[in-house]
Amino acid sequence: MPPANPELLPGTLYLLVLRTLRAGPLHGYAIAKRIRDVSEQGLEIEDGSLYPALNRMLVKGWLASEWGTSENNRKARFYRLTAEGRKQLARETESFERMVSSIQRVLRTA
Amino acid sequence: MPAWNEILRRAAFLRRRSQFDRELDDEIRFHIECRAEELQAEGMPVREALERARREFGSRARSAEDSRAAWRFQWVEDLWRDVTHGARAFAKSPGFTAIAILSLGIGVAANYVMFTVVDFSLLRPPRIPHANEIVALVSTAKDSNASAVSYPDYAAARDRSESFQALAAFTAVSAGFAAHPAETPRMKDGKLVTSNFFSVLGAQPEIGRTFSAEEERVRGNDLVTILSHSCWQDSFGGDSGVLGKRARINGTDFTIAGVMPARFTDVDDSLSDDEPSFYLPIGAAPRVGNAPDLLENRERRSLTVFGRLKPGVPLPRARAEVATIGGSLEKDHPETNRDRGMTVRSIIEFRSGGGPGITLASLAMTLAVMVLLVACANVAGLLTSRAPARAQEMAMRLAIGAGRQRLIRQLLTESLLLAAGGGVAGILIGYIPFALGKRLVMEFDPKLVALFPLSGDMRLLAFSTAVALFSVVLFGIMPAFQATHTDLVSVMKGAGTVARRRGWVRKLFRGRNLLVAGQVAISLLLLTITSFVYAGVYKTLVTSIRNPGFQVDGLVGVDFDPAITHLKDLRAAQFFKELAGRVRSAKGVKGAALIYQDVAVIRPESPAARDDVKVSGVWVDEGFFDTFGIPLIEGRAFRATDFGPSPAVAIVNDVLVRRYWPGQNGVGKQIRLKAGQWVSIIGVARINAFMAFGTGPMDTIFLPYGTPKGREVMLTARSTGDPRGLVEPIRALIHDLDPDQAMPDAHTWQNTYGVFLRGAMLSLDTLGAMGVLGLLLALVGLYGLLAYEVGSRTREIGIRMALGARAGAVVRMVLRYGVALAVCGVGAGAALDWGAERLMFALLGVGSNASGDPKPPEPNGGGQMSIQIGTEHFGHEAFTILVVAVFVITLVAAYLPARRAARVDPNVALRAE
Repeated sequence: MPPANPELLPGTLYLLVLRTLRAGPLHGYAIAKRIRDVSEQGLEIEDGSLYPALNRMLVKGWLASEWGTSENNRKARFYRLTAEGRKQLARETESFERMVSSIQRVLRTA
Repeated sequence: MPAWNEILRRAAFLRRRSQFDRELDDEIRFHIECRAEELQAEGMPVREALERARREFGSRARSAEDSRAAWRFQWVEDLWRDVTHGARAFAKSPGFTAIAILSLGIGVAANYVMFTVVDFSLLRPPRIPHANEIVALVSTAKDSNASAVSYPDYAAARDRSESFQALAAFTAVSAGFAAHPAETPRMKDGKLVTSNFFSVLGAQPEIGRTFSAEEERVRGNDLVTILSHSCWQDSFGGDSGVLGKRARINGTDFTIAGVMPARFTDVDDSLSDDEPSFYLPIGAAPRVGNAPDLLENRERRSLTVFGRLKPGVPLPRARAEVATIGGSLEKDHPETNRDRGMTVRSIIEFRSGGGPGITLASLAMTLAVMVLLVACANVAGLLTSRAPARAQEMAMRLAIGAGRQRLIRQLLTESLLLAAGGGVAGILIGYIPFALGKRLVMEFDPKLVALFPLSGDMRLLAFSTAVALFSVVLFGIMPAFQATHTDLVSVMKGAGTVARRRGWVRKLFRGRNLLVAGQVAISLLLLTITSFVYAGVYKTLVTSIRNPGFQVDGLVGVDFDPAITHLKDLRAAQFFKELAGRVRSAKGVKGAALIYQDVAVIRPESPAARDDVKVSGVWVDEGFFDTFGIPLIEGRAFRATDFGPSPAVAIVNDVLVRRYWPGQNGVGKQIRLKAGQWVSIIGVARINAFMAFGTGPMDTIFLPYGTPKGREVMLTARSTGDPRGLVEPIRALIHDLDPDQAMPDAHTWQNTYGVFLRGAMLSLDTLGAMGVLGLLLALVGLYGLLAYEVGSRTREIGIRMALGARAGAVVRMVLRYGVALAVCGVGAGAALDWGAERLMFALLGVGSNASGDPKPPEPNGGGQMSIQIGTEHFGHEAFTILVVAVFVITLVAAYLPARRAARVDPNVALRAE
């Protein structure tokens, strides 16, 4: 298991990365930037912890990677979702939503 | 399979590791530069932007390391680290490692060699479909453990019993076999079988057919035979047109009706020397010679009878039914079946020979298990004595952050290493007896090699190693629990003293004491049993081989099979007489003798003999005593004139004279032979037993040679030079005299005796080695415990010495501890011995003297050694010596560490605090 980022719920980094890549392939920096921008700086990810997570997802076969050219015309490694990754995204999204809604129920009623 | 793909992806990573590192580096640099550019775009100065980007990224090394780690087989690398760490630890204490591995190796080897041999010879069922359904029907007698059945008794059991689907029978036969009538016959082994023999075994012929029920009864001319696969190949070249051809067996022509497939065997496959070459219907017995009255004579008990029980019939019911039939036969035929009965045995009981075989085997296995136990206890002791030191190391590693799981895994790995080492050592050590055994068998008769296990059974090796592993893991893992359950500070500070006050440690210590005392007890038991068996077997077996009572060098023997070709009784006698005469006058021959042996039933005219007794009977010609050089202490040897039509003289051995006429001369005493004829003793020979291995002194009677009547005749010649030089000339003489005679086996007696002797010594040495190894192992364990005990009391001893205790008092204190352990161990060992003695006598029937039937062992070449335990009780001398030895060694083992403790400088001891 990845060493959990104290700011994130365990395992959510995978979810965020998978969700971010749903729109299309991105390189590592773009993934980090997208997460930061979309969450409006709400989620602090230490950039260094992104790469071990990406590699673990490569090992699991959720992602595939290839070298390409970045928008600023430099060599960069692009990550994209595999079919397995899409399935995993569906699974993680569902379980995350279930968890969040449970927590919310508790917060509302208790 | 995602898991499988994952492994493939990880494996692919291994090949491009350096490329991966480079790319990861590039990627991270790209990331940081992008972030820096972004910050610059927001207006940050170049240097500051780069600085900030780096800080945000965090540790690049850690990111790279964690990324790499994602790809690795983590557990493989952990395991590798554990293994190398363990190996380093073992290399640092080579003494401990060597003793532990050697102990385990010996235990494992003893166990798996013994179990392999027993499994091979006894437990493995024969290669018969549903072999475990097969039962054997055997005859029983009060005074012998022979189990063969006569044909009339077999027929009665077959016809009257209702428990069996079918009962089949066979007996072995040797005959001169010629593939066609013109060929010179060669001796081959065959079997006379009932017509249902093959169907009960569930066997189909390879070609042709098996016997019909009518053929079992045919005694006339339409005789048929079935060949074995190897005989078909060897004598007929595997000719498929062999059916209908004729083979001449002991002068009678038999039509070949079928061929059995290769690897066809019956119930005694592993016990017979050779695969039979041919099968004949049992009705043909009178035609092939050795026992014309086989089918009628109730006293001719030579059939092996077996069958399959009807479904749902339990063994006890079959047993009861057969016992009833046996009882009625005894009533109907008192003259032949007195004190005879019948019973049914399971196939394993039968193959192990009923009682003694199984008990000897279980004795051997028990010894082997005991050796393994001692070895395991030993290693356990060694490991626990290291435990406190290890616990300290573990506590240290816990303190710097190692996980408990990780520590347990580490110790588990070390235990596995140790057990694996033990297994390898076991293979190496276990190889020795197999190699020696093989050499011996090759020397004796290369054909027999297939009958012996030549390497250990791997399953048994795995089993023994697993037992060793269990004990190693059990005790090897203890330091991990010790470390994880104590508070780290006290263990690290106090080398175990503080921890020792805790309850669980005290328990452990009591356990350790128990371990050592138990080890002493078991090794004592092991030693007494082995020394008892060793002494008993040595006394009878080795002595009887080493001192046969005559000079063995220079003798060459030629064995003629009872079913000697076409020669019948009187003509056979003439043939042998003529042959002996010619051999005697041949060049290089000092003397020659004809011999055959059997049980003789006699009644010495003596108050000590109230009934007929069975003794070893040796029928000899007039050349016998000269040729063998057996000394006569009274009277004279046989002369040619003693060999009339009904000779009235006999020579007996001194053993017999002492038994029936103690303190008197034997010459002139009368003995009644079974036929009712009286003979008088003309000489007394000094010999314990004639050619009987391992039976001890036997009453023996030598009678003038007459007609051998189906007994194996042996011509023995003493040469003036190398006896091997006589083999060919004797064969030539046989051929001259009777060209149709099948060529018999010839061998030098020295070789035969030498092989027997070495065979006996090998098994004895193995036995003895187990006892000695057991003791050595136990002593090492004892020493280890005491040394540890003293070591862990160094501080206490230091305090005592600082407070004024004298060295002598300290030594006494430690010795007292060692002696207390030894006393407990010896006491328990003595109790175990007492029980084992009772048990062994009960099992082996020693004391009740089961040797009532001095059945002469088959003369050499038969290779059967009947072993009897010659000692009537456990030798108390041996026991005393052993107890003293255990005490002495215990004292030494206690004294050395005690002296070391007494030399401890109080300052050093206290500073260790």
